[in-house]
Amino acid sequence: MISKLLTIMKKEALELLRDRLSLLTFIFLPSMLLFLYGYAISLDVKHIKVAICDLDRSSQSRELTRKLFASEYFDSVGEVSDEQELDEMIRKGRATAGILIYPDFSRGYLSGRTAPLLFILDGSNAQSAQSALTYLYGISSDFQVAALSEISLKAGIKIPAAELRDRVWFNPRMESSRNLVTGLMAFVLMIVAAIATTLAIVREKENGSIEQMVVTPVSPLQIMLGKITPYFILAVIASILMIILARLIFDVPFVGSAFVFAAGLLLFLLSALGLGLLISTIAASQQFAFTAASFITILPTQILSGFIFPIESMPRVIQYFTYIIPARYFIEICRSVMLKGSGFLSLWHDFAALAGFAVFFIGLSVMRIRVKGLI
Amino acid sequence: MAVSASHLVKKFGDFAAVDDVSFNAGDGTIFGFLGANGAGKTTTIRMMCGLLMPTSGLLTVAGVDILKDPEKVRTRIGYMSQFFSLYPDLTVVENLSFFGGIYGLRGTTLERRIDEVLLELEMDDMRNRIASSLPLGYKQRLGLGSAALHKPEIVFLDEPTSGVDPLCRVRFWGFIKKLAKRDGITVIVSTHFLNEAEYCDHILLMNAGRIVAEGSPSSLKKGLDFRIFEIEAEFRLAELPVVRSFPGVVDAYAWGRVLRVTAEPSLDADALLANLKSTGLKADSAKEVKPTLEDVFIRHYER
Repeated sequence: MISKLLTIMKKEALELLRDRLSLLTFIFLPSMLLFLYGYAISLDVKHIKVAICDLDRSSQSRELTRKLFASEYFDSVGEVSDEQELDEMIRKGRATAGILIYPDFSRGYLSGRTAPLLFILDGSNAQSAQSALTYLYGISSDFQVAALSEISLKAGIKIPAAELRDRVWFNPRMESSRNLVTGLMAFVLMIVAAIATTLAIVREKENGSIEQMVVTPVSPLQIMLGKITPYFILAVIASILMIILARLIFDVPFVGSAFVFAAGLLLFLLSALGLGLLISTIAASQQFAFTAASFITILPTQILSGFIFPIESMPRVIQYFTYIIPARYFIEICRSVMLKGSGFLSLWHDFAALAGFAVFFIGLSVMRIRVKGLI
Repeated sequence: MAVSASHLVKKFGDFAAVDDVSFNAGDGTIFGFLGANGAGKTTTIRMMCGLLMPTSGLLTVAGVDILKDPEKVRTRIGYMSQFFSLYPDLTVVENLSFFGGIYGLRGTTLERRIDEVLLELEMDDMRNRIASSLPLGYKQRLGLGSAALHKPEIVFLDEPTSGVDPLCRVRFWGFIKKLAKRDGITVIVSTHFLNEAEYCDHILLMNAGRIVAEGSPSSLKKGLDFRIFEIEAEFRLAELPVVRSFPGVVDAYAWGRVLRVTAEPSLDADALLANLKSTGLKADSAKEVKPTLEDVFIRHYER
């Protein structure tokens, strides 16, 4: 029993080792995708290009611009002398935001009337325009609060004010890269594991060698298990590489227990490989297998797993669909274990869901193989 | 009896790929299935290997009832499919030790057997070659080696020579003979090459899922109830239908400059020649020749 299984594993491993290109792809592609995606899809908006048109030229207006560029959110792309030029800068894309400080800014400010200020934004990228506006409001209100406290201090009167303090846990600088990188691991593993398994099996169907195996005294289950195991080991190696990369390059911490994480990874990989196996029981050609596996894994995992788009902000009906995406649960486990250090207890429903998927996909494949055979 | 089939039927939907076939293949014989593509040869072989379940009938392979327990037969047979089915990225030895391993051979037994097979197949100097780099003829031999490595009682070869050049085919048949005679292995082989049928001890001629003739090559040829004449003549292809319409002539075709005529036993050479001359064909003599398997084949196909 065992020796036949080992024979199949050895053969599969040998084939993998010979096929250098696939092997390297399998091990390093996940890390490469992590690297590229991690840098490319940063949802943080920083270094917004701002042009200033200061018509007031007072110490107050200079103080405002100083505050603005002290933060890492804004970079100055130059000062212009009138509103038309400011508009021009934005129209030509040299600036994302323009700030016009009206001539009566300091006069209004000092005399206690309103101090007028105009923000002009390039709304074509809604995401960065939205963030820029929020930051700008923040800075102008800071400016206002500072002025108020100065006045109240001078006048010796008390002005009622609420003070907001914030305390952000697990990701104090609220960098989206932490969220993305953890989600990305699930995304990449899902795709690579499911597609690689499917192709490995369907390739043998296509060239007829699976038929050769079926007439030998090995059971279909031995064949499947023997074929999948080397890919499982590779997927684990690829995962470890991704964690190291996340740590070194994206500064993603790993505060939780490696054991809890490994358990989650195991269940997740089993469900991804199981899905690949299931597709291979249906597909007859590598082309079909690849298309089907890509279609089933890539888009749903990208959109519905919470990897990029937060599940809580999806319409209710769409939220129900996210429950059938295995990556959703693994992303939860990744984020919780790596960033928060959560244990089994608080994540038990995610573990249960992944175990359910693994049992369902593998069970269904086994049933199909039993009924229909491998060919 | 290595294989015994009676009233074997395999239907795919309404289509009967194998339609009421009965035969017995004796131990240690080379047993050939002959027929055009779609005759039902491959389906019959796949049923004997347990890859397909018969729709009805009885089928015993190496003493095992295939309809009851198709898996039991697996250790006792070897199978080489039409595609040779090797692993292209593995070496010759790795391919062999994989197939040996899944048949349960291990350690020194496996190594010794691999050495033996490689010597038999005259491939010892190729042991570390990657399978995909082998010429087709060697791939085919390696396929045979993988199927026979575990010394099965019966080896099934499904069109093993398709796509291989004639010289390789002749050599390959030499290895098959060796296997059958020296190791006493029963070889069940399918082919659509008529000249290969001559290597078989027993032939089943199949057409449209049925057996149309069977016997040894010589008995099949002897049993042909026709006479074959060869006439050296100057003729044009357009004249063939005229020849075919002569009384007593069953068929006529051109073989280079030779006119080959299949005729009823009642027709003799002189009558044929007279007929030919009457149509203005220049012909000197009509020589009666021994029928070939091709004649047998064509004869049975036309019925």
